[in-house]
Amino acid sequence: MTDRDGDLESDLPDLAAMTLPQIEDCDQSVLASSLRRLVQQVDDDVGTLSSFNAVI
Amino acid sequence: MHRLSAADFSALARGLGDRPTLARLRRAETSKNLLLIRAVLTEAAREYPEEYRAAGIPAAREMLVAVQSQAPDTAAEIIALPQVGAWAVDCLGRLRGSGDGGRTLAADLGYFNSLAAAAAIRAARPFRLVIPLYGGALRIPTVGIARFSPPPAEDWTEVVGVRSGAGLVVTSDRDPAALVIPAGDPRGDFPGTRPAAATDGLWTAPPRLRSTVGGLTVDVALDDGDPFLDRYTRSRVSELAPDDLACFRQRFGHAWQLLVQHHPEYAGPIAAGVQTVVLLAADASSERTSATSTTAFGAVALSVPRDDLELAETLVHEFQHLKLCAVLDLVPLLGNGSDRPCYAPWRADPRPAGSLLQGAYAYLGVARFWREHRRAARGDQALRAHVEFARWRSQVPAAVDALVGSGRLTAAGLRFARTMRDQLTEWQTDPVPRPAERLADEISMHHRVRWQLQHVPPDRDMIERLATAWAEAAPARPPADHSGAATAASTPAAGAALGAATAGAAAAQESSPLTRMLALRYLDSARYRRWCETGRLDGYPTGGPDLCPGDIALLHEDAAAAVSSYRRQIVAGQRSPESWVGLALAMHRSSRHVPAARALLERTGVLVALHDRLRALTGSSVDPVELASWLADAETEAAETGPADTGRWP
Repeated sequence: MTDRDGDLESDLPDLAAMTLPQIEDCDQSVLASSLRRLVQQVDDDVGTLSSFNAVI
Repeated sequence: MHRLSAADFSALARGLGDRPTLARLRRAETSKNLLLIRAVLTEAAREYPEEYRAAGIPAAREMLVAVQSQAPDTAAEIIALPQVGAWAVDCLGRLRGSGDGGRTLAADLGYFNSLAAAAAIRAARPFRLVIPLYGGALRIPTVGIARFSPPPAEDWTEVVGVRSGAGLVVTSDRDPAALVIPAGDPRGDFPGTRPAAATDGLWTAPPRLRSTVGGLTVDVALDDGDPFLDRYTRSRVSELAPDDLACFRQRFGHAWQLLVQHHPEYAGPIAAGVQTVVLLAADASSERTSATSTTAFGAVALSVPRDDLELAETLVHEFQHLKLCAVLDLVPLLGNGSDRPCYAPWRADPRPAGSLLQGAYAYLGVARFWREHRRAARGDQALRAHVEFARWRSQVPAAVDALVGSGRLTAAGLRFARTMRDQLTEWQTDPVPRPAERLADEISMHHRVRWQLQHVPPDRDMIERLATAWAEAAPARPPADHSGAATAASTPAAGAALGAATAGAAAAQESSPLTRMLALRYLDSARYRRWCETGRLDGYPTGGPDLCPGDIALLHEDAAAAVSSYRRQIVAGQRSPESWVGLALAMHRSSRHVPAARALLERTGVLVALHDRLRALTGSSVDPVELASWLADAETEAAETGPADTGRWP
């Protein structure tokens, strides 16, 4: 999502400073949505991205 | 939520991004890894509770949480390692039913324990954890490896860390010889190798590549066989002999010097973003291999380059991929939908939109690298820098335009691609010496003509109609455009002209003797000049590549002789379709028969197919230049008289 200044907000929650139990207390639907997108992205890359630039 | 500021987004889209930007991307990747770790542990505990407990995950989780609470920066360093994302993605795949990589689920899950042990050791916390052995060796990421000989039959070992006056003493129940971790050394120059006192196990610290130039330090790990960094579709070199390691360290240091002195816009961010170098075995067909994985942010994989400059360029190239992978983890640039694979001027095979974006972004960085390097380079290196810059600034824009027109980009993706395009447009007016521009044009043309022959088959009905028109001496109707869009046919038959279209495509493209010699002209000018003078090229048992007389004439700048030779070869049915590729280049260079030359460059596939069809119909071979002129005349006529009569020529 883009705001008025042109900044982009990700759907990836900032977990970098959290412990694993603290992450459990986060909104699970937000975590699930972000995880789904990231995993889908990996699945899309299978067979294409995994070998990109293997020969240049 | 993570945010990407407009300034960061714009800088990244221009192929840049400074150290603070990289620090923000790395923080986002840490979040991603934590999200993945949490998913693995949750799903494993729920779906495979026995394996979860048997692998000792609860104790390892408890230890990692303790380090997160008491030494958060130390925990974050471990969580941000490239192998963490790779491990988590592989485990999620296993938990959801994909392949097993030859290990038990517990052994895969148990890698988490070695990460927890690494965090505990770095935080100087006592611990007791069971850790799986991989290939008979105990691996604790960033700390070291204990290799046991002979490899034990059991797959696990208990590792214990206890405090002592000297720091932390770590032992394995398979190796009583202690690895003493000095107190107050969180970053870790851990002892290199400690001989085992009571067993034949050895602790070996992971090799690092360190260099400081002008006060700027790069300090990265050299992969030593991590089980989850073997993911680059090429054989990995997991251990170098001491002399080879010393050589590679020296080359890495020289490459770092080049980057700091001439490419500060990349050096600082690379120091902040690259954590691990994975060495790959060189590819026999291309001599050069490098790769990046979306799941292992911070790791770049490459074969040992030929020289320092190539290593510097490769680091920039792969770093571009890393940055784009991190951007994609934050913001989707590609939407759902299918696309037809497109021409990518750096690859032999057609590329889907996601890969085209990755390649275009990498070569945007490569173009900037060579653009800047032209200021520092002298002599042959200056020629190389000019040619590389001229090639990529002219070729990448079309790839970006194809992406913009693909319908696959999101609003953010369009914004990103248009900013890339703006950057490339700024470079189009940079002066480049004419000889370098010509070399760049020729190698680009050669690549594109070969690609089209391999991947864009002409319409069979159209070839039949053209053959009939030729036989009736009627003017040809120009064929539909099969080159401009440069999208690949999806049928396997598309690859018939030059051999296999998929797995072997890259090798086929790279293995052309003429391709290699065209590149040698600027990649190693001195070696090329020796070939011109002696007709021999060192490194070839036969004295040189298998060039035909047309190739040799072309390389000796005798375009007229090259045209004659290729014509004879084609009429005789020799070395097709490579002779057609050479003829197209030679005709382009000869500046004669300009319309025919254009037809040969842009309609090579049509001409090859038509030529073959006429031979099949008549039993004799048509002169290729005459055929190209005939087709070109028809195109000229069509341009003058308006749209073709589509009723006659579909």
